[in-house]
Amino acid sequence: MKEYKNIDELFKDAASGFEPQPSAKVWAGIEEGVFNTGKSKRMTYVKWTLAAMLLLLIGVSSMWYFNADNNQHIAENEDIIIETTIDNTKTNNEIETNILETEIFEVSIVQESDTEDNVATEIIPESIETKESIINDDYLLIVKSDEESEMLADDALTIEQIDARSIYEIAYLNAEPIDKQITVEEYLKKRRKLHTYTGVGIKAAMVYYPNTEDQFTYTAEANFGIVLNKFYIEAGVGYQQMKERGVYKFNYKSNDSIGFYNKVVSFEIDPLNPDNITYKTTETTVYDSINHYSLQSPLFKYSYLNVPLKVGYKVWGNNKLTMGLETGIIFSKLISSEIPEPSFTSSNEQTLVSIEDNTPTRVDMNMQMMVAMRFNYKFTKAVSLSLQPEFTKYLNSIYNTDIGDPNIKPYTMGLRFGIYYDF
Amino acid sequence: MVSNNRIIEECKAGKQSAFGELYKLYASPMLGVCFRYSKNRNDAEDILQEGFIKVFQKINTYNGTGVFEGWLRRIMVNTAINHYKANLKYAYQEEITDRNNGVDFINKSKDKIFVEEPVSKNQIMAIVQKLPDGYRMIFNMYVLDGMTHKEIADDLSISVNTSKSQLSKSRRMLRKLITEKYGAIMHNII
Repeated sequence: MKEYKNIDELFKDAASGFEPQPSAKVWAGIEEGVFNTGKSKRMTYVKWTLAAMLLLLIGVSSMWYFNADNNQHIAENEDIIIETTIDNTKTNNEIETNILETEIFEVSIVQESDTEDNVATEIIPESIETKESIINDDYLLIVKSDEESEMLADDALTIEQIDARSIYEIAYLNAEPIDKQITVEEYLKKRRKLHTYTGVGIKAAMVYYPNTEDQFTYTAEANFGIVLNKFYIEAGVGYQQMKERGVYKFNYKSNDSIGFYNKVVSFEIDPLNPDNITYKTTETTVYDSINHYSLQSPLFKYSYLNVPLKVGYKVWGNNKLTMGLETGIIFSKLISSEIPEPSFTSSNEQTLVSIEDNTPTRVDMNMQMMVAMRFNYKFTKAVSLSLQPEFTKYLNSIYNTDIGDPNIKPYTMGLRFGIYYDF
Repeated sequence: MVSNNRIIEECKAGKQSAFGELYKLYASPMLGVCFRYSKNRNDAEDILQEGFIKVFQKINTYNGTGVFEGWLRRIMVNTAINHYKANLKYAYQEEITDRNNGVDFINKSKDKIFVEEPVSKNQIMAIVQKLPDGYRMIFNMYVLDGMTHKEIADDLSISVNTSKSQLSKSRRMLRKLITEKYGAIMHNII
């Protein structure tokens, strides 16, 4: 059994020799703080800038890689000529395929005079068998007999021939097959055409306030977008709810004990030793009226109307899944605030003097810069779901600095789920 | 202490490895100090980090008079005080409203405490961490770091009387917390 003189001794004993081991991150932080003096705040921005640049670099590299891959295949295969002998063919059709852009083929059909060996010559990538295994039998190249040749001369192709060209697209460019009979002109037009989409989404994110406790924020949004090849622009309207810990300061007075003294109640003198006096005492507590304050931090709720404007680029994709990078600005307007009443619970001995609301005041308009990755999964030809890790940074102070509130530009990190419909 | 002086001199000369040596030597005991001024380990490590950055930036102001560890400890305590003040505006309501219900425990601070089974320093310090911020600051400053009520009042911008009353309340609360947790093995607490 160990004996302590009083409660102070118990804690003094525990404190002496109490030496917990710090984690490695402490020294890392000290090194940064000491050997990069004055840069720590800037480092945060540098770190984020580097992260954004890295993201951009990954995007551009991926774009370059996938495009280079396609170009390489096309370049390799451009001049390969396969000769196919077809029994019932009386004319030779030479179909020349030139590449305008990475995705678009210009097809022209030249009708030649009779030849002896009834050979149809096409310029197509590699061997058709390879493509068959990649795609399926629906996309075989079929060279038509005399009747269709006349049609070919009019620059119109049958569905089979169009689909044959889709082989290149599907194998190399992940385009969708054409499922109806159209002319080459129509086909090329369709390939170049803009298409639009609409969608709805919800976002959950964490707001990192530099001055107070971090809080979740939720956004519901409706969007409309236009796609041109791999680029898209998107606008929308949304409702966002943000929370923040407010600060109420209660000033009150109460009678508190400020110490004690020993009051002598009686004393006894030892008759045998008159110098020895025994005092009987009681401890009396001394009270005084003292000013106090206490803080209360209830949750304040703010609602915003958001208008996001974004541009994006499809970095990679196949028939089902695509990945894009996007950036943009979100404009938001404060539409309502839900401010809880301060509640001071006092006892009889406490007198409330004043209540101060020390919560900074929000400004009406905000601008956020956003950067996100978008993963889209296509369920049907028209409907797709998206998952979007998103980072935003406020470009202005969310508080009113004109009235002396701090200049705070928080950032958020979150996930957005969306469902889209392609027209 | 000779090697301590050597490390301090090398730190003053800006030798990077000396900073590392000094940190290894004092990080643990100083974390002990920061720990009892904080709510949790994360806060304690933040204070330790900030404190050591100050130490390294101001080591040239240490003139060698007085024990170096004392100087170091005072910087950690000051950092903890600044930390407390900075967070004051955004702190949660923590003022203890329970009154003493007519019973005064102040005199009990002079009573002996008997501990039957050993309780680790870590466990005891965890009880200090449970005190509300204000109480914890004053209890630490007065009892564990030997400051006077006048010094505490100046550092925390409060009155001497407030410091005294807060100390008295912190002791009372510590007794309550110990009883709740270790009442079975510690006796004569209340």
